[in-house]
Amino acid sequence: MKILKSHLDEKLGIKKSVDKLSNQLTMLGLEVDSIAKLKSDFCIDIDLTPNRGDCFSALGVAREIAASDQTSLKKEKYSVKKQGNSKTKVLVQAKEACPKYSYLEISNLSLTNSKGKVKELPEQINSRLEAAGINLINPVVDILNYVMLDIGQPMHAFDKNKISGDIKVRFAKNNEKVNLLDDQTISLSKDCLLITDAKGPIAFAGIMGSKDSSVEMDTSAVILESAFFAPKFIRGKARKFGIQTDASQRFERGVDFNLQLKALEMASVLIIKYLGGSCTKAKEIVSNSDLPKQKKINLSVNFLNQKIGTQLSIKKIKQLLQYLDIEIIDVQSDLIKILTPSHRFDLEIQEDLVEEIARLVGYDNLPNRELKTAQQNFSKTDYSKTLELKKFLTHNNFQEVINYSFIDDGLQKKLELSKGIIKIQNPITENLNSMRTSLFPGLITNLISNAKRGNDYLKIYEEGKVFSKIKSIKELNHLAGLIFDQEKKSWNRSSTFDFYSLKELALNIAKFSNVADISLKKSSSNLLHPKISADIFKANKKIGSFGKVHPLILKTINFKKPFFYFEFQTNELFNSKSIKLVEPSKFPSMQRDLAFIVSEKLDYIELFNEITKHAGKDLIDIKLFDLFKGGDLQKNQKSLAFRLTWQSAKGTLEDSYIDSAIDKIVKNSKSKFGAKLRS
Amino acid sequence: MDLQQLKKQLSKDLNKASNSKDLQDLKIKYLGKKGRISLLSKDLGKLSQSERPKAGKAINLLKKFFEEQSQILSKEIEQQEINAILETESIDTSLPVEFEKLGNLHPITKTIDKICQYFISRGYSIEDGPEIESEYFNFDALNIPKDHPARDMHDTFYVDAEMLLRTHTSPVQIRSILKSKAPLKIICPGKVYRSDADQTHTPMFHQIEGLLIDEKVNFGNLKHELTEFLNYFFGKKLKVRFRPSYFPFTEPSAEVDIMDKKGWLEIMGCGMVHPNVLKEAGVDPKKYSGFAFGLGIERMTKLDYQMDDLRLLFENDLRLISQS
Repeated sequence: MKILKSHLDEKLGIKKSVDKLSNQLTMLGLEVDSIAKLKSDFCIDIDLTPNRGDCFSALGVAREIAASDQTSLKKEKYSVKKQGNSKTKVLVQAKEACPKYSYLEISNLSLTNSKGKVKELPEQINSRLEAAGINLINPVVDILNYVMLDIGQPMHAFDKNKISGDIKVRFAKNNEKVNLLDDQTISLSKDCLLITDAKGPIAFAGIMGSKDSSVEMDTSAVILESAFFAPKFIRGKARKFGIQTDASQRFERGVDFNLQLKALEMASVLIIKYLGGSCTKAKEIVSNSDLPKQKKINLSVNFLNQKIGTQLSIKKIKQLLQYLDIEIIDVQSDLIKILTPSHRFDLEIQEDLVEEIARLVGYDNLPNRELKTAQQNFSKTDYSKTLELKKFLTHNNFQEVINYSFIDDGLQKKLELSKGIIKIQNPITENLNSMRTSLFPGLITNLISNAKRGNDYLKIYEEGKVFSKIKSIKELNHLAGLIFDQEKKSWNRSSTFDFYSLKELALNIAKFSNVADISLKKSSSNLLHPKISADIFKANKKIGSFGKVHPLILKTINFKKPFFYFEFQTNELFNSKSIKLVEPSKFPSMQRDLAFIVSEKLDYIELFNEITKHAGKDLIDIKLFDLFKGGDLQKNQKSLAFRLTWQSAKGTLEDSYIDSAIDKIVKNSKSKFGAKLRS
Repeated sequence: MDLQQLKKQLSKDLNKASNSKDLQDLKIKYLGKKGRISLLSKDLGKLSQSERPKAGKAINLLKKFFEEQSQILSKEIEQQEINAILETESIDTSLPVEFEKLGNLHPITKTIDKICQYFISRGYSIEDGPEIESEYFNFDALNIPKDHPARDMHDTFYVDAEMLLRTHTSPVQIRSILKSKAPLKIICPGKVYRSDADQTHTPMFHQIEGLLIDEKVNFGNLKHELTEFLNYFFGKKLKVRFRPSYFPFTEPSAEVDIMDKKGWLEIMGCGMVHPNVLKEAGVDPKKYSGFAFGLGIERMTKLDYQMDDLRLLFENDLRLISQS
């Protein structure tokens, strides 16, 4: 809310420096967002929190300052001569939404002077309204707006001659239309509150008047409305139709329900003073049972002092409460019983009163106390394991990236990643309209944008959640990386990142699970090249995939050069037991080399499995040290050379034991694959 | 052959030796079992008693002469041989090496970890919660009922009628209490979402939520804990102020500002956990009290890395994020 400093000075009856004033407001919880110098004045912009509707006026802000200065504001009195009663009848049918409706009539007023020019209000009123960002409309509306700015009651004026019959306050019918002051026609629902006359709606209650009943330059009689609309019937309505008005902002936060007559009085005084005319007595239709209640709260002095670490006396607390217009009903030993003022809707429990006292004492004056709690947490969480994994990747020269969790659903569809896709109903832009089901789209976007800048070497990874909804919403933590290596290597570095570099990396990541039971299978991922990829399994659970990206995907994303990709499900990775250290064997190890000639078509793993199957339980290592094609071999042959190492924890192994193992290996490899031993 | 002649021959041989093998051969030739000098020693027995000492002395002198000379030669040869190895192993050390671009954690991750490490060391545990959250946990359970004006402060993304993208990490407060019961000390770093985009707002950003519940926790404890944390984060003793604010889930509520070069700078929100929140999570507010705080990671990153445009953090231009 914007307000002129001079307006506050007037209310307070003293002048403070603008810095002092703004610091005081900020430290009270009315944060000053900015101060703008205006001629000899300052416009102070206060960032009001939604609980403090009572500060939506000069009076409200000044009340806070006075309380903090431990003084009271002067009571302002307005009084005007009134004649007769208004002949217009008002029927309040929606009492729960409009517990109080006050109104009066002013007739024989004139908005223009004898020359037909609009009468001018004092510069002080106009400048205060303008500083507050309230547009000047016509003198009647301006005066009502000024009353609102000054004491906080939103009001409305109907041109009496445009009203026919009784006024009703009722809920709208479904699809009932109202043509608002800003000339837009909106169609309402049953929970919207209306002011109507015999012809139909004359105002969207508490939000905006209708065009047809509005005050114009030729208006000579008005009905002034000063009502209390219950916040919960106003809240959300203005926003629903995209109209925020000064009135709706105040009503939805709560307006002092004892302010209506005072506001009518003040408005009448000003209207008659500047526009002439005479007014009727005010009528007030009240449903006491629907009005908010001033709340009774018991405040324990011990509780308060414990909560904020003070030693305030009952006397001091009572004093501070009274500066806030909080009425003390009774004091019983430790308990102060109070009644909340009608302008405060945010005081409900004793914690709220603790905050009030703390504000007046000043948060900065409350002591800092070191906390002594015994409880500590020592458990190793997924957080630290994830961080270890991330650091492992950065040590392998991967750069971490962070992408938005929402992406274009079109891209996800194109990549066939739209299974169980979750759409956002109100996306900020259309290309951020669905939750990612994989980290792939984000990473390729990063690849494409960085490659466009001429980057021909890229190792990036991301860790984050992916989302899907099959039956219920599922969130999984994933870790994925992308390797693009098209750079011209330096003179001493010949190897380009290939599938085997990726396999080494992927298996190293799998090692974070501390389980021996890791296996690889043909990948089922649509993203990966079917012949140059694999899925990683922990026991029978798939925990990740890696490989070269499928040429079809390259086509889909219109990227010409190949790259590699891996994606892991980290929850599964970390879900494992602790490590047990095993004492190394004291006995010597034995090594033998075996080279087999086999068909080129035979996968390494087949032969490997056969060898390990027959090598005996003391085989501790098997290494493929040579892979050879060509030379003296036939065209469809290859040679695989293994170094096998045996060692037992129980004793030195005999040569005969090794020899018989080798015999078995050779015999079985021959019968199964036709493998010949190479001499 | 007399000794003089033998000495001459021996000197000649030593001069010819050019490597360690030649030298080894000479040792055998002269001092081996059947070596020339060894044979002379054996022949001593043939001499008369009176000739023997003189001849023996002469042989010993010759032997000593050979040993001295061959040792000198051996050192020379060794030096020559090492020099030869060094020569053949020489490379051009001035050739350039290529630096592989080092990997780096994202600045956001670094900031989160800087904060987490502090709270881990103070005994807080790290919790996680869903990013697609129910209205109940994101709002209602945090004392923000439907149509509460505070909901206006959160421009919420919805995925359906009840589920939304969490607008803050505060729902984890409720989830953690339900899971672990009081007393507890937790922090929760994570992504949050609000429909807002400009230089200082991105529709996805990161927060860290903190929550401590125990018996007799008061506002002074909160002030102390956060002041100490901020001193740690910025690596110096800061001027910190607490001022009243409003969050529906804390009472009293506060904003924390630190004194920067340009004046007070808002850093984080905090407060004493609202009794309605404790009750909603099944904790007796008469027995327990606590404090909660939340801070924006992007803001902390911005301060720590002196950057202006937060949007750059998620564009993933490697030229930028690899600098951190």
